[in-house]
Amino acid sequence: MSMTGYERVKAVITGKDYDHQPMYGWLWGNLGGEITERWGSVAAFEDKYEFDIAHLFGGPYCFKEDVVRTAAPLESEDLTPDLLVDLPIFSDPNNLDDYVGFTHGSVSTGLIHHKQRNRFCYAQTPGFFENFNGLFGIQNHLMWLSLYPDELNELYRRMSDWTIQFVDRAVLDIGVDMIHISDDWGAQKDLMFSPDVWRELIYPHFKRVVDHVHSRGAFCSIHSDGCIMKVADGLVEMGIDVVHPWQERANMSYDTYLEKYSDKFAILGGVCVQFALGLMGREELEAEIRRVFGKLRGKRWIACTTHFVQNHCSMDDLEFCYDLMYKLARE
Amino acid sequence: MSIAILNEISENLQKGKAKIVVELVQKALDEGVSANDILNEGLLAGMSIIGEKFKNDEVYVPEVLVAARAMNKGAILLKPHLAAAGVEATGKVVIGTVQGDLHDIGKNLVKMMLEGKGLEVIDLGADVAPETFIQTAIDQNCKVICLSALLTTTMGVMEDVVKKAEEMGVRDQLKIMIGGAPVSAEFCAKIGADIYTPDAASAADVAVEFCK
Ligand code: B12
Repeated sequence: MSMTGYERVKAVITGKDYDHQPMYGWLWGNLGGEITERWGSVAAFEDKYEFDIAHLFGGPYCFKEDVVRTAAPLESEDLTPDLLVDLPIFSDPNNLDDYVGFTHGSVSTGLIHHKQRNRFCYAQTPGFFENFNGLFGIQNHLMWLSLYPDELNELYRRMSDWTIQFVDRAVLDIGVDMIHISDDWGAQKDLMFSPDVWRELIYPHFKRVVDHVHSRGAFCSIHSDGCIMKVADGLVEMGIDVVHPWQERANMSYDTYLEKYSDKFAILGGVCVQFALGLMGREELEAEIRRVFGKLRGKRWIACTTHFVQNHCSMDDLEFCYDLMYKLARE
Repeated sequence: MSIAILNEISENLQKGKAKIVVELVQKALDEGVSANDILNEGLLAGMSIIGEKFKNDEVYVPEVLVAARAMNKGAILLKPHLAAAGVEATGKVVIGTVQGDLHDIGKNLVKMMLEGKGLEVIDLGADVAPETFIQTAIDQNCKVICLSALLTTTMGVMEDVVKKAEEMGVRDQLKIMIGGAPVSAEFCAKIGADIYTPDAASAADVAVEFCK
């Protein structure tokens, strides 16, 4: 059987049979210039290695920052959630002009380009924690989780209203296959905030959004760096389809994934940018990539970097890594 | 009586109730409790408990942040009294996130824990050049430099700081402590820094020892 990228990724996500391991990488973030110099463009690199997925950026922004600023300066300790609950701080997510980044590409190439290559296309939008970090500053936001739970609960509820409309536009009008919610909850060894806080403040609103995505016939994925093991069961309850990056070196073991979660959701990741790619010598890197393929090949896994490839990765190392991944994916 | 109010300060601090902590500190001062006792038995005692709980994964970053905020608000009231009584910090430390790196939450937690042990901390913020660390340590007479890095692209700058200290002829007068997500004890040994600790509370315990 030979499949298109879209079919292959969909099969992985839904736990069906597939022809070979799908592949992807977070590339343009730091190394767009170098990749372009060597391969002509990031798109050319993606074509060379027959990427199965496309990550779309550049959708609408959910806040009216001018309204927020009437309460207090952004990221200041004076900007507390109680000041925002009654303000009309959310933008209108229904203006299709705000979605051209997804269709035509702004920071990277757009859906039209990738659909011509039969790729599975996911569009990124920030989650509840990440989005309000932009207003409060992450450290203040962490404090407000403890000091203003009721007000944050209301603000997150209103944000889920916004996100649900966003989902309608992105899925129904633009045609993306998956909504990818970026919401870093983890530090290297544990969650940044408690699982109870997550359960009370994040889970209900997130679940509402995931249910809505599913009702529109699309998939829903989450990106959270760091260790989020303590909420992995909650992700299952939420119905999340894909988790990126499942950061092994942040206490997220692949064995635990395989034992407890591989029949529940897929993972996108495997090539660690924190300890492997751009850091290990060739032999060690090869052994590492083979180890990960040995564990995850044939499972609900899309081979990808755990974050943007970092600046210390040479183009030779990147090529070596992707040549190997390409080969192993097809073995 | 004074023990009861000091316990109350500690307990409210642990819950992050800054306003109540400030009221209680004022009340204790009015009742004639010494500023030094309020600091050590009230504020720092509470912060120490939170630090231990954080180390043992019983509380998370938000709880530490709000406790430290309460501690700082209470400490502002004490400052003039401590100065008048000639009470000095137990040591002086300079801290920062290394050049090229903007991650500062871990660094801030370490700073809070250091302050929670009664140390004076000079915070250089994030994206700090190697020579700035050393020059500040010399100018401000600090015995310890704390370096934080969250990125593999910036860990190397820690080694530059160690080298800079050698170059400037002050390596033997300084202890260099390092930490952050990708950092390890092996890396610490490799670059010739003095100590790595995995968490902020342990970092503070070690810094206190270094300052003795
Ligand atoms: C929050 C976060 C951010 C925030 C930072 C906000 C801020 N004000 O700090 C934002 C969104 C801005 C950000 C940006 C980026 N980030 Co970031 N970020 C994180 C995240 C999710 C959590 C970090 C954190 O705050 N943890 C909570 C604190 C409390 O933990 P901590 O810092 O580790 O500190 C503890 C200990 O380490 C120790 N400690 C810390 N410092 C010190 C110092 C001393 C002396 C001692 C003794 C101890 C010590 O004590 C602390 C408490 O116990 C991590 C994920 C992870 N695995 O860690 C990624 C992560 C660090 N980021 C990553 C990346 C790649 C980036 C970017 C480069 C993105 C990109 N373009 O590629 C940018 C970099 C910008 C820059 N130049 O710095 C990668 C790094 C990978 C690598 N190869 O190194 C990580 C690991 C995510 C991943 N999936 O790989 N990030």
